Amino acid sequence: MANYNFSMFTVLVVEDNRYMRSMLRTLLYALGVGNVVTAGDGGEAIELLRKVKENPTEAGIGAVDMVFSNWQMEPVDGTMLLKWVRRSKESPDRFVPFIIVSGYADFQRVSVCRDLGVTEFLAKPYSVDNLLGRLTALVERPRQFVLIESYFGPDRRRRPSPTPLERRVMKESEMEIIYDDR
Amino acid sequence: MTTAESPSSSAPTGDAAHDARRVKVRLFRLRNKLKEKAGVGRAAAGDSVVAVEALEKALSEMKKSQEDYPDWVRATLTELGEDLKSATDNEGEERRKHFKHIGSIAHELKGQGGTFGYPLISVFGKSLNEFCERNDVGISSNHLEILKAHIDVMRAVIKDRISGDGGDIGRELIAVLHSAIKKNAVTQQMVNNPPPPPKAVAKHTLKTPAKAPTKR
Repeated sequence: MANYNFSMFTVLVVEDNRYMRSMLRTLLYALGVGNVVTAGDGGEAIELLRKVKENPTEAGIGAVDMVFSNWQMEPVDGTMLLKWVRRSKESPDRFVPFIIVSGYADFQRVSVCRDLGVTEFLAKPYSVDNLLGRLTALVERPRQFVLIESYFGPDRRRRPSPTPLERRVMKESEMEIIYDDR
Repeated sequence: MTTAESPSSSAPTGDAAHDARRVKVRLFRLRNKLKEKAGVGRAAAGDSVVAVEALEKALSEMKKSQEDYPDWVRATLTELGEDLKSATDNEGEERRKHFKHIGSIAHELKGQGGTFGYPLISVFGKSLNEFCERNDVGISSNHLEILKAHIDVMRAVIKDRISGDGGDIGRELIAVLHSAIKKNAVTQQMVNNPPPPPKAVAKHTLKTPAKAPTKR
């Protein structure tokens, strides 16, 4: 029997409610995550990520492997943080998996996160299974990143064409594929 | 090797520039670093994603938090009560400000309740949050009664530690809230949209899906 071992992961948890923050941190540690760092809102998270980029030794973190962030926080909320991570030149890793954890789980709001480049969405309330499901999805089903004029983030096309006629056609000459492992 | 460090690649020159102008989309296919760090993982579909002991530990931590939840959420309910008092003591825009603050606390409660084994708190939190996000919230004093009814049923859930769907008592509390909404509703729309009973809570199970989940 083989299992995943998350002990090499560093996870950033961004949550303003200290009980929710503490519980998520505890659950991640229980599931075997090696290092969980926390921030009380998006602004604190940005400061921490900046430090990771500028001086990882001082930050005590080599790299953040994924971010779990609440949506509704003040002064800097989860979507503002997501925007910064994906678009700012100061971001240490614009490709980092980003999970929004929120009670706002309706289609319209999930779409807002999707269009900002979210990787996964974890709806509150959640269970251990839900949390583990998101962690597994990040490991087992990573998506390619897409850069177009109006979007940068994980490929939003997770399903086959929603209409009988496939309109999502792109000529090869209009596409550039970039790898980091060959 | 083409580097994938920067999504906004630097401007190419000459022929490359001509080609680049036609490029409408750049696809970044990155190494799966997480998989490299996490190891081989599940060898067979029936294998647990993480070690069973880890899962058991997580479930036990979750249970511990659920036992503590009523104690620490009381402070939040007290805060709601204070906001209700301030909303009652004020009018107009000042009152609406308190309604908005209550809506934001209710949103938190919606997320917390079910997570900590109290789905009725999520039901009442959701109902209160949606009520407070209405454009006309606070225009009528009846709205204060609706607000109070929400706080009362949530207090009852926590006081008597009514976890899960609460059975008969849970249904009764939903009915009490519905009746308060009906009595004080300013519009028919509110009467027609009472809070539904809690959805089945995602079960904490040690089982692993027999087959790999399908792509969404």
